[in-house]
Amino acid sequence: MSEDHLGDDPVLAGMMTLRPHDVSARRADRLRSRCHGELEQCRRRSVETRFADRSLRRVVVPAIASAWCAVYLCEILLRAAAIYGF
Amino acid sequence: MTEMDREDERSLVARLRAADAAAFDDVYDAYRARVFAFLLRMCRSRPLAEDLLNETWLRLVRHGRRLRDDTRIGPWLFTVARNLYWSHRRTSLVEEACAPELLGLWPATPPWPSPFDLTAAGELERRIEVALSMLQPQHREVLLLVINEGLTPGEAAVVCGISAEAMRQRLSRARAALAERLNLPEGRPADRRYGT
Repeated sequence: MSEDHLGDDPVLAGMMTLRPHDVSARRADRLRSRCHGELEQCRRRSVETRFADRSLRRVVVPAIASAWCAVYLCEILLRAAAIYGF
Repeated sequence: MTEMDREDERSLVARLRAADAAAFDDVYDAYRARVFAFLLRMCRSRPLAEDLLNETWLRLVRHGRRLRDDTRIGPWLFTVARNLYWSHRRTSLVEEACAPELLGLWPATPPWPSPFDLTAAGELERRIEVALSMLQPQHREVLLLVINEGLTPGEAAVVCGISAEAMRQRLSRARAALAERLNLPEGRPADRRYGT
């Protein structure tokens, strides 16, 4: 159904002239404020998540890896000591 | 702002993903009345259309981070609004089927278009609004999306979740149904069988 076809059709052309409708200005502003509030929460959540992600990457993961390496090294030293009779 | 070019829309989507309030305001100002008019004509009840409008915008805010780069904002909003309408309609039908005796106890919402709306409208507009309100919702939605909201039939097909060919056929049937109702005397009770 092309634009030309719509223009030629009195039924559909009539539909294009229907009046616009909107909610009251008060309701529109209330909804806008509510959405802004939600956006602010989303932003805050995302900052907190980013911070938690960064902490995990920079502190927790290296700490676990270091602890595992230390345990592994100790175990190797202990076994080596046992083999050589210390 | 009724139509956005693709570049503007891409940058708007990027800003929405960053939860930018100014980007939200741009979209809200451009589409609020259009989405509301669509919902009002689908629901035929102002309070219900207002509730679904709230939910549509809250969905945009909550799911904004997950928008894809190539998201078309208009069709996305109409898809959400349409899905909310159908979801509400299905729930109402289930409730009506489960507890018909309770329906009389529930306060009825004023119908739309109201006598006030009809008086304010011109003769042709009045006849079209009444005829539209009598159409099956499936027919009403395709006419509203393509003719009133200016979506391409392809975009409207995506919004309605049907193929382009099915959309073409549905549009044609909807147009015929509207023309038929415009020639009928208005408000015949038998014609309201497709009501919301």
